[in-house]
Amino acid sequence: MAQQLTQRMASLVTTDDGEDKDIQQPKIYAKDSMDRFGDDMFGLILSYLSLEDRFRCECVSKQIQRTVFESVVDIKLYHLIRNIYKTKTTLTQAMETIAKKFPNIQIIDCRGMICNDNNLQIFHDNCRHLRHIYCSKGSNCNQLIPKLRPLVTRISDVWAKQSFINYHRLSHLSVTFICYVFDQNFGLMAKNLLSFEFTFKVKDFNNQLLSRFVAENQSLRCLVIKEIQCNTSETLNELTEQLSRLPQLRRLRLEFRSLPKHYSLCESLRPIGVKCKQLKRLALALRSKTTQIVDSIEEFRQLKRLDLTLDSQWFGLRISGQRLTHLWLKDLKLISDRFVNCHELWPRLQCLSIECTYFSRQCLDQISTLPALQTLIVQCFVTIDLSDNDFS
Amino acid sequence: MADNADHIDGDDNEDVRAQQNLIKIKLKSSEGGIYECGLTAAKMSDLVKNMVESLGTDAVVTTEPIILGNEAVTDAALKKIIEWVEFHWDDPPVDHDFEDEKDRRNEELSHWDKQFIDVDDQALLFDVIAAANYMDIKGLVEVGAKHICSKIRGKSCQEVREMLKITNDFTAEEEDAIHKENAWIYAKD
Repeated sequence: MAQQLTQRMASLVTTDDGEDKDIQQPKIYAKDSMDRFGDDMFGLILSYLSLEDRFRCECVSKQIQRTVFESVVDIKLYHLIRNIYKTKTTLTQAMETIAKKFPNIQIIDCRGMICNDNNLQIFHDNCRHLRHIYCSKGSNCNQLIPKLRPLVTRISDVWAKQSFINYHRLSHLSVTFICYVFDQNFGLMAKNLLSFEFTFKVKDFNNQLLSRFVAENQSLRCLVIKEIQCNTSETLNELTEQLSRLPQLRRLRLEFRSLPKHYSLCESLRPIGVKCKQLKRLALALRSKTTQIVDSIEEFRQLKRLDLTLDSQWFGLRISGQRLTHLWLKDLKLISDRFVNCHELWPRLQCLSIECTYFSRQCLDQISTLPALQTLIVQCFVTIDLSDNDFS
Repeated sequence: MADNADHIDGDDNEDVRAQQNLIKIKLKSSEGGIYECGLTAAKMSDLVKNMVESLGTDAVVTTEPIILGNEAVTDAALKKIIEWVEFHWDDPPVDHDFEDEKDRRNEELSHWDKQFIDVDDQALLFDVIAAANYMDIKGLVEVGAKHICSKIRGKSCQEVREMLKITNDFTAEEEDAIHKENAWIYAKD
């Protein structure tokens, strides 16, 4: 008996020894073979692959299979499964595969598709790091089961009135009209959001609703308002006055459909510039048919990124910004003196993107004086003669 | 007023960085080669930065070179690394106001970086990446990783194996099973 035991132990020891040798004396790999890298380096390098490439590479080697999926923390489901109907795989099978292969997912983005509870349940049960679900929820009919709701942090494409009860962690919301976040008794259903998007509709626009929303969403960092139609300066000023009450606002995008004639937009925007001290990124889109006066946006001192889309006739815009690092200018009627003294106006500008119909050499010469410029993108409908010297 | 003060601070800082880069320190490869590098540039390596900070700048400048003992830090790799940090040390700092981590990961490499990293000698390429990882130069590791991933893009498993000289340790059956499981992902538009 004792002998047997010794033998067994001996055999165990031998096996252990064999394994130890494998670990202690790793193969010497060729220096030009990626086999030389350990799992950490593999994980790091492969973390820049797209999801499709990760799947395709999975069977290159066992080391790649081990490491290729671990760095994925967020998944856009719609993009992955959009062609699944052309194969024999069912949606449930695909979801099971994803939940199994991506152990570290934190964010599931199922916007753009109808996700039923079963599909999301798989992630809920298998991915222990899952913290965020993004979904589009057109109407009340695709409400999630209560236990999934606290994971939902972003909801987009809300095009009908619905309940947001139990979505305790909701932070990003996009609705067609602002009235959808109020219940029948005009109780506000979405509070303390970080990001909000809605379409301005003049007929229904109720300043009191916006005022209530602003009062209970002082945390708001990002706001997008589309299709703003203001035919009088009073409506415009009321709107900007409300927005200037958001102290945390960092990003603001305003898309104008119509504006009062011959009225200075910048004058109306001034309260926002003065009071929203955190504002770092401003996007203005002016698609109005009337002539506009856009004079100067000097009030926005903290601004780092500015995105201007100007489709209409406008006068005398002077863009200044000591802190501007990024400027996007979509300006079909670009005037060539726009860039005079730009090196003084934008000393820190790193990225300049211009889209216009006509672009002159003179503009280019002026742009070349920008001291911090790293990226320049020009899209125009004329040919500019460039020589090698222009790229020095 | 506050705006102005901040502006001057920023410029001052840039001046200090430029001044410091005129100070040269010595780096020694695992093969024994000694190379000079500007201080600000060298401090893009967190490993070097920590050493400089614990030893004090004066000591680093006047005494022995900093030894980079990892075998990936060959003479050739170290020369490439110094070329990279000397080009990038005055890059603008990361802007924390914008959540750019994800954007940056997806951003294509600059023309300069592409030319820099596109070396024919794959052993050198892997040495540079491994050495940059050892020296903790995150930006350069990223350049190397993006370069390899751009070469993998769209290639079949066999092509990837041949290119990166990776040994296939799957049986044919195992490989088939994985292909079958992933079939839905390859469906084209």
